[in-house]
Amino acid sequence: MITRLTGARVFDPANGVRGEVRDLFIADGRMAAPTDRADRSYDLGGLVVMPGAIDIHSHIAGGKVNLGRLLMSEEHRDELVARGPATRSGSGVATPSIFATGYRYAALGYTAAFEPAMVPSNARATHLETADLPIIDKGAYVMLGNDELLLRLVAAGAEQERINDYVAWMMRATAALGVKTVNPGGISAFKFNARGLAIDERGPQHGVTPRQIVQMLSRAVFELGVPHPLHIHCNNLGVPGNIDTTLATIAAADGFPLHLTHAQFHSYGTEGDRHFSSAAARLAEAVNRNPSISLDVGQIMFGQTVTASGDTMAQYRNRAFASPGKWILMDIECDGGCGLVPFRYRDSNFVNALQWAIGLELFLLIEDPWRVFLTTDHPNGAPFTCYPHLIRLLMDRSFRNDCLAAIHPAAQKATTLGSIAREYTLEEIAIATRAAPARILGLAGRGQLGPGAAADITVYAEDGDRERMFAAPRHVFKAGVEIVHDGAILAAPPGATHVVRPDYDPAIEGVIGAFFEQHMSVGLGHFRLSEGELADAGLSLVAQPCRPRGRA
Amino acid sequence: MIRLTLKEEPPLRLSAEALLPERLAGRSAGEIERLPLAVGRTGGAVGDWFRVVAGDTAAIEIEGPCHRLDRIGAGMDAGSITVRGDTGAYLGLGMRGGSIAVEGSAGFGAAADLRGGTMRIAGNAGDGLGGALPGAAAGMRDGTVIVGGKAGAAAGARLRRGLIVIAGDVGAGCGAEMIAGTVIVGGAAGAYAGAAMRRGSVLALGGAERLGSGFVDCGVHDLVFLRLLARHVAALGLDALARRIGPLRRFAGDAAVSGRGELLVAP
Ligand SMILES: [Zn+2]
Repeated sequence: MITRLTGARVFDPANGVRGEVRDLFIADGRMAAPTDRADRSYDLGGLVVMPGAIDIHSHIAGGKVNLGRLLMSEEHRDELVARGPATRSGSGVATPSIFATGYRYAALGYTAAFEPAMVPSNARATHLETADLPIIDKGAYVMLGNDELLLRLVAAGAEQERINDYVAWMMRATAALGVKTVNPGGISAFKFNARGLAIDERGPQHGVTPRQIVQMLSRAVFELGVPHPLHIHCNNLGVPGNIDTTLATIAAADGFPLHLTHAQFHSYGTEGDRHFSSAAARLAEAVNRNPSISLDVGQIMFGQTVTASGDTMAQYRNRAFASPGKWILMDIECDGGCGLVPFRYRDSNFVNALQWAIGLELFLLIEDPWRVFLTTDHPNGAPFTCYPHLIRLLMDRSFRNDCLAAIHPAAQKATTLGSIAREYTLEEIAIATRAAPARILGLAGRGQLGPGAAADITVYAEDGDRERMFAAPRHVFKAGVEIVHDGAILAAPPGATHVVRPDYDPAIEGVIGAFFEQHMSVGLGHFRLSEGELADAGLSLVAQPCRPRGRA
Repeated sequence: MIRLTLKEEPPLRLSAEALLPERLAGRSAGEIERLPLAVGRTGGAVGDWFRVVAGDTAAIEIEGPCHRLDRIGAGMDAGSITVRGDTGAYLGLGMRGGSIAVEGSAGFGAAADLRGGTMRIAGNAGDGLGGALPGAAAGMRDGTVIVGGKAGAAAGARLRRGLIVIAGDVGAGCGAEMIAGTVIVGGAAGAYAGAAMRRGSVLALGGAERLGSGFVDCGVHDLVFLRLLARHVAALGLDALARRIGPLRRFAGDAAVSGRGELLVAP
């Protein structure tokens, strides 16, 4: 069957289409070349078409998300979603149930979202849970950098090739799309009573520095040919003055690509009476200068949410601010950590208000929209349902300045936000939420509408109020099927799970096997996911290209 | 008086939270019959299940085989509900004012998250009497609950304020994680009464089984507080129980948390 979409202004930055009126053709779930024979036609005159949006960093499934749901029991009692003709019931806002997560993303025009913090020993639970995530495509980044075996290997002076083998083995064993490191070395150090770890400080147990971990992991990911650069949550999250750590981390990668995640939380200085200031301009300047660096912002929005992070060191610090006053911290199999602290961001609080401004400064001061991604680090900065509001803040200066005028007065004085004239264009939004995420994740045929690409398409009605426009797409197509029409979910087919499969020297399995034998609670054979069990759970795996790269 | 007579035993749980006195007062029988009422996952109306006799006072009487009626009086602010039989789960959940009287027994979670008002259960109460909703920091926050028979496990768990009186025995964990308030048990308290309590008082007039190791025996005392409490209990119409509140052995605890609560056990 061939479906034709006619008359819309198309924004397809990957193919250089910038709002021109084009007809689009869909055949068998993919974009097709123009043809006269169309079985079905949608008249989209006056509407705006973009590829389906892609969220590069959103905590939607796995161990800590489920702990978050338990912790946020109030929202699961108070915010109930009834089942619909094509949808199941659900609950929650900051920690929505898995079905509600998929429907809400789809209703916002998103067709993919990626879970960024999969602890290796939680990989099975994470994937099996996303088997229930309706409509959208998904994938996960495996968390390395505080795992006991890696730290032992680095401490013992293992060569880069062994680290590469270990990383590749882990990615395949956990069906990962990328590698994330959280507070490299710091989560391990926390367990040995360290409460901070500087970039060149040796961890108390292994004597390994964060710099060594960043160097080896960023290089491993590059040399293995994993498209997505090392996804890094830098040390010292949330600490005033952490900009120095963030800039030192960029330097530590020695030119290997890095993706700095929730950079807003890592862009703080110590100036001013309150010893808390914006260092967004310094980070933006470094990003503008280093083409191998990308980032997602982790914008905060005022209101109730829950912070969910592998960074037990930071979450232990944050527990004092828990609202409501309850929190969870745990270690997971010496693989990584997990910390959940409910949080209410307030515009009347100086720090929160300045965090809000810092995030927006980053969006507006980084020049290349291909390297800055639109996230709230759901749910850490705010639930992803805030995205339309965030888009309006980026696209509408007078609205932004009205919002700025409502925050804590000292925070207004401490930010340059009011003087920034830039407004994102529709094309830049299409880059930052579609084309660029697909490119940096190496998702072939996604985030674009060229012939052969997946027919994941969002159709918006032009509206001067960009929040209203992006909150309610007129149509959303997933693999060529209309799944959202004027806010109603018409169908909920499962999306694909994206993985990469880097190669490794099988000899590494002896090293890993011996470690498992001695220290882990499950054997190697049970730890490793088999593709058969993932398929049995209803996941359809799509392997993205992965071509080893020589030494830089 | 508004009388609601259940025509037959519902095959599934029936959520009765819509049947509040403040909502029904002044409505005709026909209006009340048309109000929505869910059975299991299926929608329906009050009239599908109840014969309704309207009245203009804010007093409701429910009769019939009611043991599958959940959430009777949930969120109630004022008025009264009388149930001539047993009730299901979460009787008076989050109730803020008014009164509930049950002639039979109540199921799980009666008076959970109670904010105010008075509840009297003539028979027994299930587990979680006056308890906390899952994940909530506090259980019952105020009000008075009187049970004529026994209560199940975790009665008064995370109690923050208010009074719970149980004439008979209670199960394990009575007053566990209590923040403040008072629980009086006329019979015997099951194992680990007051476990992890921070403040507040649990009286076990019929003795207490297996205390936690965080409780310290402070000896038998004739406390002024207990005389005042006895007078208050008598004023609730519980003279026989009030007469039994005299000198009691005080165990201070639970030292595992802050140790400022107490178990007061028959000497
Ligand atoms: Zn995150």
